[in-house]
Amino acid sequence: MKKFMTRNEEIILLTILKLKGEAYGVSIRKQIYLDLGNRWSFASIYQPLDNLVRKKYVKRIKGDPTARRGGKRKFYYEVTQEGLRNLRKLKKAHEQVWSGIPGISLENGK
Amino acid sequence: MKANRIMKFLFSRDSYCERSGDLEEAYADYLEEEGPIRAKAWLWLQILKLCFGIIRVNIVWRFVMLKNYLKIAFRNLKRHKGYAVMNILGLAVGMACCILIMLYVQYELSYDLYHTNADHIYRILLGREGFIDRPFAGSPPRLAAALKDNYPDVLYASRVKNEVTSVRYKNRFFRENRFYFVDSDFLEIFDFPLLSGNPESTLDDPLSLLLTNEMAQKYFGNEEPVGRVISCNTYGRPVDYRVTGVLDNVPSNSHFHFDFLTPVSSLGELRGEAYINSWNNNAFKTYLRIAEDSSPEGLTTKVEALFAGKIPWKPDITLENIKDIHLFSEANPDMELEPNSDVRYLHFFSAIAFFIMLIACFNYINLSTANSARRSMEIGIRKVVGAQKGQIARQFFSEVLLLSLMALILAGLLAGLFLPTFRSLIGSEMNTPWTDPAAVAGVLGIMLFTGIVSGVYPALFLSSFRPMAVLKTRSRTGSSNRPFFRNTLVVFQFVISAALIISTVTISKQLHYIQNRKMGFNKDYVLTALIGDQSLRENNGPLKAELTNHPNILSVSTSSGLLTDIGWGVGPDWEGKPQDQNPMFYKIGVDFNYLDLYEMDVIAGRKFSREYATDEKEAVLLSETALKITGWEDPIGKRFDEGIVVGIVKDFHFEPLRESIKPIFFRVMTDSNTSFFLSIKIKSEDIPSTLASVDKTWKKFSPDYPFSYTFVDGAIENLYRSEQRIGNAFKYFSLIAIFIACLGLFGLTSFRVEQRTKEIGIRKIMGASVPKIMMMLTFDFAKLVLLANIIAWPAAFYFVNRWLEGFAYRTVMGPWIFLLTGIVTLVIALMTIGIQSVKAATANPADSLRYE
Repeated sequence: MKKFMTRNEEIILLTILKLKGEAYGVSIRKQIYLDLGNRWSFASIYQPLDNLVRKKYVKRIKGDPTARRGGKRKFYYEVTQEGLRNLRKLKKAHEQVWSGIPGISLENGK
Repeated sequence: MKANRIMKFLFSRDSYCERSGDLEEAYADYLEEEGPIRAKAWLWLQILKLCFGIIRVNIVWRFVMLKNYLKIAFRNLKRHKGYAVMNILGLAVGMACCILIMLYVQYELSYDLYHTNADHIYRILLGREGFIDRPFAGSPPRLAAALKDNYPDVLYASRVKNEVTSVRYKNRFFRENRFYFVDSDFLEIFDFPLLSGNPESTLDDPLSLLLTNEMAQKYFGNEEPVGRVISCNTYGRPVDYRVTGVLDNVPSNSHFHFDFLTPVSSLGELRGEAYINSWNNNAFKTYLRIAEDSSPEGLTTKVEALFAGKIPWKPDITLENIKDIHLFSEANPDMELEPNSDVRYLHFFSAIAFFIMLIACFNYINLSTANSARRSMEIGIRKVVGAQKGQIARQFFSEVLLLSLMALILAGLLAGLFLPTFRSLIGSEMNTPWTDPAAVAGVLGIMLFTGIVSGVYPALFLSSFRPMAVLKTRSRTGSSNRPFFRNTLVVFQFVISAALIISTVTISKQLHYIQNRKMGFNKDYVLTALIGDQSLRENNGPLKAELTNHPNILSVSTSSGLLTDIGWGVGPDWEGKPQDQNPMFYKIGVDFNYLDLYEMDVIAGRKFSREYATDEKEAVLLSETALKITGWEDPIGKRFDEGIVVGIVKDFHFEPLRESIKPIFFRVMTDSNTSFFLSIKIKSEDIPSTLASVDKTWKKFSPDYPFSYTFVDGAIENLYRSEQRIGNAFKYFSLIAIFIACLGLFGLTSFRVEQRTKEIGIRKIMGASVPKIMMMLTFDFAKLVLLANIIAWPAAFYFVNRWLEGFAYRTVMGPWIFLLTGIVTLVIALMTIGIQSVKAATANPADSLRYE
């Protein structure tokens, strides 16, 4: 059985989906900040990204260089079919695991 | 941007593009929001984190694999113990040589670096314009003060003069050779920490004395030395000095070592103010510390300008940095405080270390590629289950590193064991501690060098095996592969060994030649002693008379210099001397029986004789070479240096045979202030009792100066000490080189024999005789050794000849040296191969054919 992706990978994959074709290093990081209020380091973005690329859940697409980046190219990320399938599986697993846990016990557990 | 460069190094091109672009963009945002300082800090933090990520991915995971590689490596070493021992031993011996030589080189390079201002400390070398000889380290005593007065760039300047002095404190009475007269700036120029005493006023009083800790122990033991009065006798009159301080011992890596320091002004009281303050003698050394922003080049002409009008000839000044003195000195060694080394020795020893290490590395390459068959299956399997070429290469690399690490440990033990031997072998007092960072770095460097040189080729070779070929045929694919490459390495190893042997033989031949060449005088059973007492010098007749009466003393004489160290050069005038020439002649003042004592020959005219009343005042004897320079046809009666030539002395060697014979002339000086040296010719029998009675007589005439003598033949041998050292070093290193080379050869033969076991068995069954098979096995390697000799001969001839050219008088490298080397290397190689061949050739074919 294939292992699930890590939580970080999951967050990044979802962010890429949310950004709809505008996902690249800086924008992903910004979106995560908007969603979670944490400033992630670039290292903790690239590493899951590299893993996602290797697992073929995400595709890297060469963009164009811009002046603001010192003349360097952007690299956009796009979620592949396989990525989507896996994400769905993960979501389903989430719901399965969480179902049946009463809301109250969660509040108390905190 | 620095960050960019780091990232370029860390990432592939695309990733670099992406990451550095992203960072730059985010950085620009930060810059607007948070300001430059925080933005910068943030940027570097990001880069740091990226680096950590990479380390985690690349190193930690590799480490896991590494564990597996090491496990396999250990198993292999255990399984093939002989092979492991050969490799490790060869590498360890090579590394031990490297470590020792590296420590030596580092030590030699560290000379005088301990002075904080070493970059700005210079000494004056004085040459004479148009003078062929090298400049001398001497300079006039007036110079130091003149420099300080006239040029603000010269911050401190000190005269330095070493005098042999008899020192007495209570019942402790010694002759001290390292008694230095200096100026108070001396302690400002150099870093010699004061252990006790008032740092403000140690050398202010003319009769103050500083001594080293070692001397304080020697004279005062446990007493407090500061404030004590000690009697020192430098020029025939004991003077009381007061100890004002104790200095730390001078580090061994210093180009001079003093035991006592006292102001030059006290020398003035002994020898007259003129002696310490004139422009006309060059008996002092001048050291200066210049301002940090001034350059020595600019100062040179200024120093020369100071001499204008003070001396009759034009000086040629060199400022020599203190760091250059030990290894790169341009000065004539005659006036040095202590003999220096030469950077050529460093090059020379480094080259030896390098070549020995190469021989050892080649062993590893040869053995591991030859034995690759043993590993081919493993490599095949690894590749089949997914190992990449790079991973296999990495595996074999880590194996080499493991092996060289084990060799390094053994080498460290060997080096520690042989350090004292090595030290006396090359005559260096190196004492680098093991914890010295440079030494540690050097040792690790040696290990890495070994690993890389010996690891690269096997790693590439083994990792290029094709898994299908290896696994399918189950053959020894790699084994017979590329014997040409291995043969080349074997040839190279023996080229080096043969070249070292040729050098060893030639060097010892040259040394033998030097020591047995006719010097032109008889050096046997002659001893010399310095007459320290001035009044005794001026009236030495009674001493000589009493010594001559002794039945075991054949002859006694005095002279101004030693035949091994004339120490007196002048530019004399003579009848018909061309105006534009001013050649230097050595000069020696002798008494009437000096030439008889040393059995020198006069080839024209006569020797000095008491029968001629005028001899004492004006007689001159020229040497043959001196005569050649004057160009006279008929020299007798000609005027030379305010004297008249009475005879010509046959040329003799008064300098090492490196130099061609220089011109010298003799004058008569019987009871003069310059009659410094006493020469005594003794009978060959019962030398100790003769010496004892000479000592007794000496004490009677010179109570303040202990008797200390040198045998002339010993002094002559001393002149060749550095050559002797090189000769000895060569002996040992060529032995080591050939030992390592033979280890490799042994390994290769045993491999080759193992490989051909079956073939040999079949040959024997078909009727081959034992000698035939031995011939077959040895010939392969013997021809390599012969080829190596043929290459080594011209190469060694070229280099050794260059060394020989440093001598004006040299032996010839006869063809027998080369033939002998050829035979020796061949015999050693054959013996190495022979052991294995005999075993293989005499084995029972039934056994060898059954081995599968």
